[in-house]
Amino acid sequence: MRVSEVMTRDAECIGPDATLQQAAEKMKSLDVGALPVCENDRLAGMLTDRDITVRSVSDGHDPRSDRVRDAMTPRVIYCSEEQDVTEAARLMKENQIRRLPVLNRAKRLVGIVSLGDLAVETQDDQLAGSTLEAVSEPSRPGQ
Amino acid sequence: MVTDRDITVRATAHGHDPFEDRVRDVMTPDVVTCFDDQDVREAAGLMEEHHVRRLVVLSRDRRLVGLLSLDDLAVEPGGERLAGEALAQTAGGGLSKP
Repeated sequence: MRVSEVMTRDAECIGPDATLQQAAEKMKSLDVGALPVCENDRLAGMLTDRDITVRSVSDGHDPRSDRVRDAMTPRVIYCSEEQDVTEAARLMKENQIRRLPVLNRAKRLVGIVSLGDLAVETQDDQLAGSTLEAVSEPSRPGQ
Repeated sequence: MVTDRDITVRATAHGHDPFEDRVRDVMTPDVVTCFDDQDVREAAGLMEEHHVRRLVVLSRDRRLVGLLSLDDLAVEPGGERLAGEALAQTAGGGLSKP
């Protein structure tokens, strides 16, 4: 099964110069936990609700003035829409991440594929479970 | 319970000042709990039923003794499939699905 069959299409982007408050508003209204960051139609990074909390709020910054580029993760692992879902799962495992931006051949963002998509759309609990295991950390440190 | 997401969507998104806001303003007051002597399969069932990825773990005298996450189930030997099933049920909640 190809990534294009299970991914979420029309992923909304945020610009790197938006404030973290604007990004948080967008996450709330879209009910998502991660936004791709796009600059000039190119993928520049990813920003999650956790990034906002641990890179701005907990450091005592003001998310009303901090910019997306200050809190985003710039080095983005992505996959291609033509790749097999097992390849996407392997990328998630190797890099310990739960979401991958999906690019087409022209390197334009066409969607996002999450561990949840793998679990729901492929109906393959073993694939999703083993991927979850690989990306997981126990909730109690040191366990 | 309070999560990084609660802080983002209930305080930051509204332009509140995190220096002023209190935990009680953004926390989720209703938490799903399990007991520390319950089987992990039952805990996974609770996660599926309530579409949550974390449970507060209580002792039988109702004291807080820990947290249990979907991730804890996944790293448990033989827990992969159980966690995969629970993940499929909880994934519709919008946290991971744009």
